[in-house]
Amino acid sequence: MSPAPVRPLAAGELCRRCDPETLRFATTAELEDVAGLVGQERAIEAIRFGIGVRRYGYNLFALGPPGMGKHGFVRRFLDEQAAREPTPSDWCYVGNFGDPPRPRALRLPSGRAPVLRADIERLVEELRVSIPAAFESDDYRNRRKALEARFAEESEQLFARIDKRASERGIAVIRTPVGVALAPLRDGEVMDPEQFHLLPDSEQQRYRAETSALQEELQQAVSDVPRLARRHRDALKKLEREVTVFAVGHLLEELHGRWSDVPGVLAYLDALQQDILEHADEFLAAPEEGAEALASLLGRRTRQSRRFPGYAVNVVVTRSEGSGSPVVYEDHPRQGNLVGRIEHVSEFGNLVSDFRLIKPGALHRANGGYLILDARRLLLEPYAWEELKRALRLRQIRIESLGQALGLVHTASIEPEPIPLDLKVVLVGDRTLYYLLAALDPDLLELFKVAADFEERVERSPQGEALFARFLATIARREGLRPLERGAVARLIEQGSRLAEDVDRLSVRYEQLADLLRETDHLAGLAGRPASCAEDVQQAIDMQVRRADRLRERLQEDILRGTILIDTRGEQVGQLNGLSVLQLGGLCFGRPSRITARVRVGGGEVLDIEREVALGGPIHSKGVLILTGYLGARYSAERPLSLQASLVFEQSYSGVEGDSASCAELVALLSALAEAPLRQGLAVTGSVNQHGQVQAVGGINEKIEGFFDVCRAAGLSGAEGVLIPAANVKHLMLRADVLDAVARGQFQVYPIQTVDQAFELLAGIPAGERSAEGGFPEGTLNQRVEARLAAFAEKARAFGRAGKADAER
Amino acid sequence: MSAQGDGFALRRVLVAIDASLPSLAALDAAAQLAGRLQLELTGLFVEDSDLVRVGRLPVARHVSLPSGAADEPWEPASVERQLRMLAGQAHAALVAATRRARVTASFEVVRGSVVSELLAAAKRSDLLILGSTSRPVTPRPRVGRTARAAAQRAPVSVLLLPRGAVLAGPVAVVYEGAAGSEAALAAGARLAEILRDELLVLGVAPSAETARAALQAAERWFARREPPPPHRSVACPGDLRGALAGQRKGMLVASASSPWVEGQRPHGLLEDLELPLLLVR
Repeated sequence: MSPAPVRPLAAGELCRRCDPETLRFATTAELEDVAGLVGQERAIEAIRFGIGVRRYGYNLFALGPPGMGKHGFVRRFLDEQAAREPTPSDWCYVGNFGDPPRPRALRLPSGRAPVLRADIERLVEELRVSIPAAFESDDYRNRRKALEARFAEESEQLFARIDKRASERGIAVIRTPVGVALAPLRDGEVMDPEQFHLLPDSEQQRYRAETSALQEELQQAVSDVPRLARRHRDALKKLEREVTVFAVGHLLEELHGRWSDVPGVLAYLDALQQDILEHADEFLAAPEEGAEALASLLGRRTRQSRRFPGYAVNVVVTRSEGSGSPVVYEDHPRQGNLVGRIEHVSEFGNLVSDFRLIKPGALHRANGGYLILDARRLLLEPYAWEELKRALRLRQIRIESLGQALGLVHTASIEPEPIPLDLKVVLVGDRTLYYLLAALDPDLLELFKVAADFEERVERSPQGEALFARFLATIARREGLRPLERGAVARLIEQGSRLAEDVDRLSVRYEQLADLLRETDHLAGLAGRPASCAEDVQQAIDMQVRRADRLRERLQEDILRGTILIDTRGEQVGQLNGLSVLQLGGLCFGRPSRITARVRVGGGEVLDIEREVALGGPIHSKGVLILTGYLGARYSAERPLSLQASLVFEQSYSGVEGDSASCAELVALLSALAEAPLRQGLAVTGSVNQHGQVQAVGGINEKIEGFFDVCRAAGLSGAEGVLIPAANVKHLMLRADVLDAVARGQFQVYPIQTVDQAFELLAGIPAGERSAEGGFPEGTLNQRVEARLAAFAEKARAFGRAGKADAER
Repeated sequence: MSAQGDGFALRRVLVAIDASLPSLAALDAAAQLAGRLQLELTGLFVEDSDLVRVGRLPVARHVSLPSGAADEPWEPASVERQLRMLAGQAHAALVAATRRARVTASFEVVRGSVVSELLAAAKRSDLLILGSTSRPVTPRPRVGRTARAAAQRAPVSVLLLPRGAVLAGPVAVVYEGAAGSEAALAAGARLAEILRDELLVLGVAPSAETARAALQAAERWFARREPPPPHRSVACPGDLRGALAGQRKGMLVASASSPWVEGQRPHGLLEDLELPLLLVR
């Protein structure tokens, strides 16, 4: 590991500028729109594939960072696709006459459900007239009267015969409060018991026999009455059916003719006709006159509410023919809004429902087409995700209230017949959500087999830049904004790279770019320009930063006033400026943190104070543990690492996470061991592995700029700068003021590959390379470290011997 | 009931209660009248001596309704218990009806032949009110023995209420120009006033001409009143009974000696009529 000389990066290497002259247009008004989003070939291919596979589980999950414009893109894409597809069926719910709590679902050709509803409404109106008219006819009344008279006559004959026979035999037939009594009669009255006992035995026996015989006849007559009554009711029913058929037959025949092409409707009409025939009296029921008592009122209302209960059509979903398949976005995907709900009305203190109160959900509206849902909102709604999965798994929409589904409510309700489900669901969400769901919910990959992964960055090639310019033009036009001059586009391309954190990439986050364009347009408008220019773009960027910049300014102020101790001048042993990044709201900014290390003889442990007080995250702790490995292997391979070291982020009162400070921590530790002062004008960022290689970190631009701001405020002497991992050079898109300072030699950015390079730069002493003999050259940093550790080991051994001798004594 | 001058004066009303549904309808009508006219109301429950004797006759037999089950011979104690229970129900119904009508009433229980006891008690009142049908055995309620006897032989006016009927207008008076027709007219006019409903005068006669003549006589009666009661006259030649059949609202008033009523016998009018019928004496 020979430290190569590190040269600071030139200003041109710190940012990839875009020369407006390379753009072949004056303003974006000259550019054509791009279709959809830029650089989403993979996602488009996935969506097209998912739509094309009409099989179970081939639903889609559109994933990508927020603000990508996924929702709008998916919607537009599906709208175009759906317009070319056949229009799915209409659905409605109708009464199930045989089993009212289980309404029937009826499928109809598109656009015809409202026609059926109107037909049934008209039928009911006509029935209200035609049935009473038929039942009020003289013919019907006469036939009914004849039937009633026959029944009365037949039943009276039963008893008249007994009356006659009893009278002939001197037996009285007397109505008692609970029945009929038979007793000997004398002078029109029941015989006095005393007189009866005076009768001869034979006479008494005769009476006994007569009353017993008549009792049997009476019993027979009484038992015959229900038979006669049933026959009478049947005859009446037959008569009513006959009259009803006369009244409604032609109406239903007409409907049969109109709906002959829809077998489901024909079956419904048959059931309807049967029910009308059985309940024609419902059409005759009229409120009783003058019945004002509460009981009468209740009775009347209950009766009214039950009238024609099933003679209606609840149109759940209808679409005009040729309108294509539906694309539905449900913004509030709670359980009831997805699968539909059953409403109830209060009737005398009870909650009741019927099929007319079934309300459709998004699944009904999207059936036969596409349903777009926001994954996060869906998961936030209780039981919505589970209900959606159930519907997709069963391939049917089963409406059930949440209370019933959870078994919490047991009131009588309805169970509508499930409707077959055939649609594509497109969930839109961020990647974290998708991967979490994929890991935790085994149903996800079964039901959402196609992931459309939206790329937030595209390659920054000349073609990429040209496409990006068209993308900006498209956004401007779609948003109704001024065109952009090519200078503005060039600045936006640079900002695109900055947002992508890569000189070779451009961010295509729709919302982020659209916001910047809207603000740019506003500023151009204030300046009275017909097209936005580069200055407008820069001003918009600066204002975005400025609006969110309060906390960064306060922190910098605290550093300059000495509240937070950061040195940018001089040298210190075991002390170094690390760099961290804070993400607060929409602003990401870097800030320096003082990292210090202290060493003493010990048992080979590097103490991470952050971790000890539970302020260090696991990745940070991992970074510190790597240091121990590095120290032991490099400097103390042949002897115990008799070191006790402590590392701390000074004045850090919140958590520390990430390993981007591990290089700085290692250099601080080595400085403490070698007792080599470090330049405080240089800050360090980068993670380190056990071999001392420095690895790339995130937020590199913000970190450099954060330290630059502090140094500039303290005054730039030319000795200030930042050491960054060489692997991060391709991510540099630094601000113009940093570039200016670098160009003037006031600030440096050093790309480092190893810890030795960093140590050498910071201490100003050669790090030293281990010779063939095994040692480091005298006076080098590494030699000093190794010597110190050897001294620690010797002291530890001496302490060990002394302790053992004491014990033996 | 006796018609006095322009109207008719009532002081005491007797209602027969046996706790059957028609008798309860009669009770409501009686309480209503008593309340409006501040009459003395008496409820009468007759413990049927025939039933008492049935209980004591070893050869008597009984069939329960509606089951048709054959019971063992009745014990006298069982009959007594049933009569007490019915009397209790009748009394309770009387109390409830008088409370609704805000009127006081007396309640009497006597033992004997129902018809004899009722007709005897009726002598102490101006109007006898009772249900027209007995407890039904057959699907079609039949006019009871007591109602028939009261219609024919009661010493005072009789108001008969079929099962489920209520006392309400319009009040239709059968006017034939015969003896007693004017008394019926006076009673009808008074009832229409009490019920605040229309008074209809039905000119009943074999032909249209005689019917019109009867109505002219009625108009002369009205002309003597000051002021003449509002009314409407309808000539009813022919089958009035057929026209009344099936009518369920209103009431019919006729003289007990009306030839038309006499002509409806045996009991056909009461069998068919579903309206309250007042026979004026």
